[in-house]
Amino acid sequence: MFPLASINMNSGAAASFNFTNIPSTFTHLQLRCFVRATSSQSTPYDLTLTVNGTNPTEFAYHQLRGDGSSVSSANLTSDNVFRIPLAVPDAFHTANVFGNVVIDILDYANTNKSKTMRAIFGWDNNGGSSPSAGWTGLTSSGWFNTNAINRLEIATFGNFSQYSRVDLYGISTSTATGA
Amino acid sequence: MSVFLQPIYTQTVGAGGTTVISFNNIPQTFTDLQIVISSRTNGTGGVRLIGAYFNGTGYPSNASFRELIGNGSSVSSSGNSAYSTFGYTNDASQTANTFSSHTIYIPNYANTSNFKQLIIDSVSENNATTARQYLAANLWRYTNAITSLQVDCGGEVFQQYTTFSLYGITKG
Repeated sequence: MFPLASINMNSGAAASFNFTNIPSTFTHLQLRCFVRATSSQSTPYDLTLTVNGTNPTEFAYHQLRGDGSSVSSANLTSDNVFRIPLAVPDAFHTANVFGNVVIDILDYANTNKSKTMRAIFGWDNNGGSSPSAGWTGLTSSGWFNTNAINRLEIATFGNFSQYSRVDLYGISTSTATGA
Repeated sequence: MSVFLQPIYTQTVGAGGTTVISFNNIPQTFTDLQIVISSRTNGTGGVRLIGAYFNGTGYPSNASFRELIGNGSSVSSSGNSAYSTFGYTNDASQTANTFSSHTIYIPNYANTSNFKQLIIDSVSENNATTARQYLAANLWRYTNAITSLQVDCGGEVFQQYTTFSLYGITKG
């Protein structure tokens, strides 16, 4: 697991994290996100990943999530980004609360496969009631296209807050089979 | 550079497919194991559980799991005391070229003083309203060190480009 890039917003809020020219030399990608939005509403915002700089309607997501009192499941088809709903707390929520998201994209450069993103996320608000008390969940999002991924733009509604951060890692595989 | 995840083995299924994947002679030098799976089978039932066992014992009688599942519209949780699983694989009835995605974490796999407790997160994405997200804990009630690992899918054939990768994790 090799650190490829890290982008932080320590100097101030900004709209997106852009990872360009992602090398195709690894087998899998992992993104680790620490994010908060400057906008304000009780329902936390989505985290989205635009792939390769375009937004074709070739995506879907499915999510298993809990808010501290109940568990639910949701989906959306005909989407145009990888999407992780409810992952980004915002100015409505307790100060200094950030959402944590770990995203795996297997075989991101394999042109024989459509691309599936798997993400675990969570954050707690130290009180409040749903939808603002916090969420945790497991999300899958598919891009039904076999093109390799070489660019990812991570965004939310409006700007990310200062001190938000996203780290990108490459994961290799062994040439030994163990068979 | 970090070597937090040390690659040990990888098997990629070829054009003919295969019904069983085996990792043998797993090194005993790491602290924990992690398995990463990208899978699709020739089944037509929607999705199917990947079965798992170790050390060549066949499906273990001393295994059990707790699971939490979402399918895009509803959720469920259950348990089973008869086998172990690595989550649901995509199959041929789902969107073309789409593979399930799994991570399985096995701490203390070489320790002979503890049972083996696994945690699994997996998804089987599909371009439709229904697709599964799966969280589970598996318990293997054996104190033997894990030296080999076998997975299958009830006789279904893992399709070309399916990959199983094994990693070692060493504590600090």
